[in-house]
Amino acid sequence: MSARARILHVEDDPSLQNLVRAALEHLGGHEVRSAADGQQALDAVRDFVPQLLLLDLDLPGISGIDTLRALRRCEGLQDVPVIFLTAAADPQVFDDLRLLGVQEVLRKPFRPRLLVEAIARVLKEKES
Amino acid sequence: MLQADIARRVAESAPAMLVYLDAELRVRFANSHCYELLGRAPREILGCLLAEMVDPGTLKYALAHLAEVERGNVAPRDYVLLGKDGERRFVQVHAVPDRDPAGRSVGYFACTTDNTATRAARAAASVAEERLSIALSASGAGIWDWDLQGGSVYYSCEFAELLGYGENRLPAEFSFFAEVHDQDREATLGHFADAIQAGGTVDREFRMRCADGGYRWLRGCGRATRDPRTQVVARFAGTVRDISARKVAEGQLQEARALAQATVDGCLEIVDELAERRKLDRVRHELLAAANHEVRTPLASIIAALELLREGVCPPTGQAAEAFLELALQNAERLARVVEEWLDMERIDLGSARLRCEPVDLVALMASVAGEHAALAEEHGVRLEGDPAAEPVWVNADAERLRHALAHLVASAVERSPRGSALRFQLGTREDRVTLLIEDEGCDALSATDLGLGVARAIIERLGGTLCVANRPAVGAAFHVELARLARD
Repeated sequence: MSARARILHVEDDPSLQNLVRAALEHLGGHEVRSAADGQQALDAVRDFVPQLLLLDLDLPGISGIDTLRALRRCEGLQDVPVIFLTAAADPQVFDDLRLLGVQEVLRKPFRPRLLVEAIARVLKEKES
Repeated sequence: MLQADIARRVAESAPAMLVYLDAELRVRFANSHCYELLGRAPREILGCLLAEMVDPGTLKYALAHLAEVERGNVAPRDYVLLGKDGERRFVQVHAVPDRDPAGRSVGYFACTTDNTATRAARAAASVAEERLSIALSASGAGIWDWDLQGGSVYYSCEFAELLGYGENRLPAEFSFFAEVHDQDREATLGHFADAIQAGGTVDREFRMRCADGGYRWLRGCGRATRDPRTQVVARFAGTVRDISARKVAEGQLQEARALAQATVDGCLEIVDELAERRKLDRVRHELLAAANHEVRTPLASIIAALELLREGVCPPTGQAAEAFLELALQNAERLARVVEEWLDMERIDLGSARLRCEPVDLVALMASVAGEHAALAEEHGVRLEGDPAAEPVWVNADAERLRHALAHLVASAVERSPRGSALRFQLGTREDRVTLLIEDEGCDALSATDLGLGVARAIIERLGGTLCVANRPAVGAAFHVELARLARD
């Protein structure tokens, strides 16, 4: 198991927000900050510098991708690793995300254990 | 006055050439007309032989004539005489023999009239006639010429030929208007009668029966002319030409045009249908994307909750475990609702459903929808506010489906509104449009992939309207429904 990391989780669905937070805290031992949309995420990074971004693609208002672009412009987040969660099935979306430098894309529904493992993998790659 | 003097004066003043030939056919007497006509002096003529006066080519006809006269046939004949400088003069000669008491022929009295001018005119007329004949034959025109006073009728050979009568002869009982097609007769007769009445012209197209019983399209052009003396319309003449080929071509052109129009219409219909289908495809695509999201998100929660319990992240009977189970249950219920929405959509059957459209009072419908949601609003602590319109506002819609769409908008707005906030309805009319605004103060942003919203939009669009959603974070959402207004007294 990798070291404890600071993760910003952006998800508009309250149930999933709670459950992912529980999974990351209890299964991965990470420190999690939750946000329901892009604006909340930008507000959060003022006093919380995440080591990984976990973003929902289908966000209301500012989309997941625009949220990522905005976060990347914030200090210290230029190279932060990113994992996307999405219900979308379009392969084009996956390609677009990879071009944006997104490390992993997980489709909903997903097993929390696999999500935690993916986070560990991405963090390890970042370290090496 | 002496008899001889009288005879001489008669001979000189007669408006003809008088000549006396002796038995040798030598000129013994000629009056002054003779000298004038032939341009010769009397000495050049008197004593001259007939053969010296007549064109050599026609001399034998002159001799034959005199032989006929001798036999008692005194019918006139045409001679060609030679004038001064060999100029040919065409004359008509009446001759009678001069007999002695024994009955022997001793000479001939000849009365000669100059018809050079008449002949030239006749020749000219003949040329003109020939020219007309050629022209008529080339144009295929037939002539009719009605003598309105005498009642006689003339039809040319070409006229008969045009109608297919053999030997270029019309049957004796032929009657112009009787042969005109039943459907054209009255109008044709009317126009011809008008032309005759006014002394004007006519130009009509009509069908006329042919010898074989079939009909041929003709164009008749005629002119009524007045008697110059009485000013009464005395004659009505004109031509007819066969225009069947043109009529057939016109018919074909019309058919081709109709066919082309039908083809264009058909293409436009296909384009419209494709556009409609594309629109439906877009709606389906959006709904499918929405459904995908709406199913996968609660499923993700259910799986996460169950797996966290299995992973033993918390004691199985504690508060935390109950919270996970509650989340799983809520999301299972949410899934059930999604399935319900799908069934609703199936009932709406976006592709082929026949809408039962009728005039619907949007004021009454909206009041009814608000009434149905009063209890839900109270439960959420939301005030429903609307300014009641005094007059009904009519739209052409399927009342049940429109109710379904509006109910979804109201329910979703109530559920997202914070306690103590207001949900406002506003109905407005602008020219031929009706607008319904539903505004909430919901802090939660509207889901971009709300399946119910997709269904509501699909219904409104199928009713020819639009649904715009203004998602205004921190202010609330606004649903803007626009439909065509139905004019009703």
